[in-house]
Amino acid sequence: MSALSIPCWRNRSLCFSGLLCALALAMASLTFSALQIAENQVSRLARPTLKNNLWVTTQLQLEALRFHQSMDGYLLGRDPVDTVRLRLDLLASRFQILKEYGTDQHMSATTWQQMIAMQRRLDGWSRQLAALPKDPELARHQVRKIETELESHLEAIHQMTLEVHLDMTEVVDNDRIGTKANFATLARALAGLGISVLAMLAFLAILLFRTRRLSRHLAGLNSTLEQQVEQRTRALHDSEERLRLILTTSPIGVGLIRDSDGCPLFINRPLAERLGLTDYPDRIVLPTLLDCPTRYYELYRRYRRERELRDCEAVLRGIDGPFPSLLTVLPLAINGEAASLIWVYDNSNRQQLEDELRHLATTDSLTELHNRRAFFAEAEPLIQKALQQGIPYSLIVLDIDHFKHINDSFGHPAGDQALRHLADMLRDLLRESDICSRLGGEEFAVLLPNTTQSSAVRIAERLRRHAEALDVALPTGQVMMTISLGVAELRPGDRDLAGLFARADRALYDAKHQGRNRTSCLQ
Amino acid sequence: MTPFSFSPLSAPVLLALFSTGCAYAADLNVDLNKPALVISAKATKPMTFSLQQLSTLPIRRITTSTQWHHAPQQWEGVSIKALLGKLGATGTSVYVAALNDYAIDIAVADIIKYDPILAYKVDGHYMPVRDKGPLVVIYPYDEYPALNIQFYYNQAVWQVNHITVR
Repeated sequence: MSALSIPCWRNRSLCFSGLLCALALAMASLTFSALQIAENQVSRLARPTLKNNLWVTTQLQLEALRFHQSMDGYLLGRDPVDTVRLRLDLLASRFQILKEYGTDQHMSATTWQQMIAMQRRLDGWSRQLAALPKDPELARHQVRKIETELESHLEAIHQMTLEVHLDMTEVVDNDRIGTKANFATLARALAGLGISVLAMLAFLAILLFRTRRLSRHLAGLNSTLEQQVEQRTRALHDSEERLRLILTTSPIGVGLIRDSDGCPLFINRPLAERLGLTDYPDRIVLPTLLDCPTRYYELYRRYRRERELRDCEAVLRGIDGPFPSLLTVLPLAINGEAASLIWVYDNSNRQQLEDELRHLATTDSLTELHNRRAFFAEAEPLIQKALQQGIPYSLIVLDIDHFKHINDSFGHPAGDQALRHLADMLRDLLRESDICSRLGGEEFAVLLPNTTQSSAVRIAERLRRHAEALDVALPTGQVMMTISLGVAELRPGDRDLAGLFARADRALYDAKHQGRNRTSCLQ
Repeated sequence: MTPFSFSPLSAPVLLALFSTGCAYAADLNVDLNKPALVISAKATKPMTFSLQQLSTLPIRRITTSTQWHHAPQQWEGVSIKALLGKLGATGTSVYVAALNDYAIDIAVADIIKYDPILAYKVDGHYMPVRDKGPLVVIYPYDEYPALNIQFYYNQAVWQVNHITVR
């Protein structure tokens, strides 16, 4: 059922039930009044009146005859006059009842006139009998006169009786017809009432049916909803479990910390293990996690500015000492409370790898000195800086004399050994700030910051002497070697390292040309 | 008479019309000293009572409607139970006869249960023979609905003049 049709239907049903109620009410009142009328009729009919009592009508004629007989008896001297009076009273009393019965409108006017005349006559006789003359003869004459009068009216009494009788039958019939009509009305009213009650019941049944259907529908919806909720809840729970599993087993440390009091809402195992948190701490604050307080303030300022930190390098205090990590901090609202989501990526392995790679890329594997590329990469910025600031810089380029001969005579391992020894010697003799490099083969370069050419030449000579004295012990014998060195100083006209290098290289060539094992510099 | 227009008024109105016509008969025509009732019982001589004599006995009044009169009337007379008790008459039924030879048996059980009276006055007036007098058996019809059946209406004998205890 659509949402629209419900109020419409309800309106219609209200209307309909109102109509039914009105109908039932009307029928009930009609039934009630018909019942009342019928009840009146029935109670009237049920009242045992003597109207249908033939005894009375027959009694009238009988009493008339008895009155006649009593007068006969009196005239024959058999009965006293009191008997005559009593019989007249009795006759009169019957006549009175006859009149009472004749109170119907069906009675013809002439009959009424006759009855009233008869009543007067009876009264007249009563008076006459009450005041009979003392003289017996006169009295008898009087009685005989009454007797004659009575005889002349016997036919009239008979007629009256008959009429009243007929009238009574009509009254009874009218009652019968009336009763029948009454009951017919009552029956119709009852039928109407019954029909409206049936209609009402049917309507109620329809209503009940609809209500049931609706409630079933509702129950169905409800259960579907419950199922859905259950499914969703289960799915949610599953997904939450999954997420928790992911977070817990993630190699990245994850923590959720309430901002107001630093209460850790969640800390996954990697983070807990890395930080050495055996028990759930009451409070975790970033300053205590960071190894360097200044770094914390830096990060804090950045967090305030950017509202988040993403992949910030920070050294954290781990259980095994400080470890480099990438720190990500995101603000989050948990149940309306501000919290911080912290991701800690343990960067120590990567750092190490990076260091190793850098080392491999910049270091000569044999001598552990800078390789050529690293030397240029490191030296070039220094040279630029020196050119800008006018700082004296010198460069020594050196080379092992007759290195091919060493290789050929003692084998390549001996050559390598010689190179290593030379590198160790350079490391030993030079300053921290000096940059040593194996440029390739047996050729080395040393950049000397804050060093003039004369100082560089002195250093070069020192290197040459030490190289000459170097004793490389090998299983195959002793290797002796000398080196040649070219020295150049950075000049204000230089634009970069290349110029300086070219001069130093020419100086070296010069030294070789002059007989090796010597230091040369271009003037 | 149409079924719905029954008027109980028509009969009493006409009754009243006629009863005025014979009003002279009431009271005036009732001789209180004349013998009005004979009571016969087993083993006793028949006893005769005038209305005067009956009036001296304890009065019992019943206000009730009757088959003749829808409106309640006050009937005044002597309790049949008390009368028979006073006379020491015993039996199972009382045969009540009227001047016009109407007669009916009344069970003593009913007399004891409903205590009907032998009324000599209605609404304070003695009743002449013309008006159902001088004595009428009256049950308390209005008091006991069970009495409103023809069986007990038949026992409302008027113009009573003889009672036989059997």
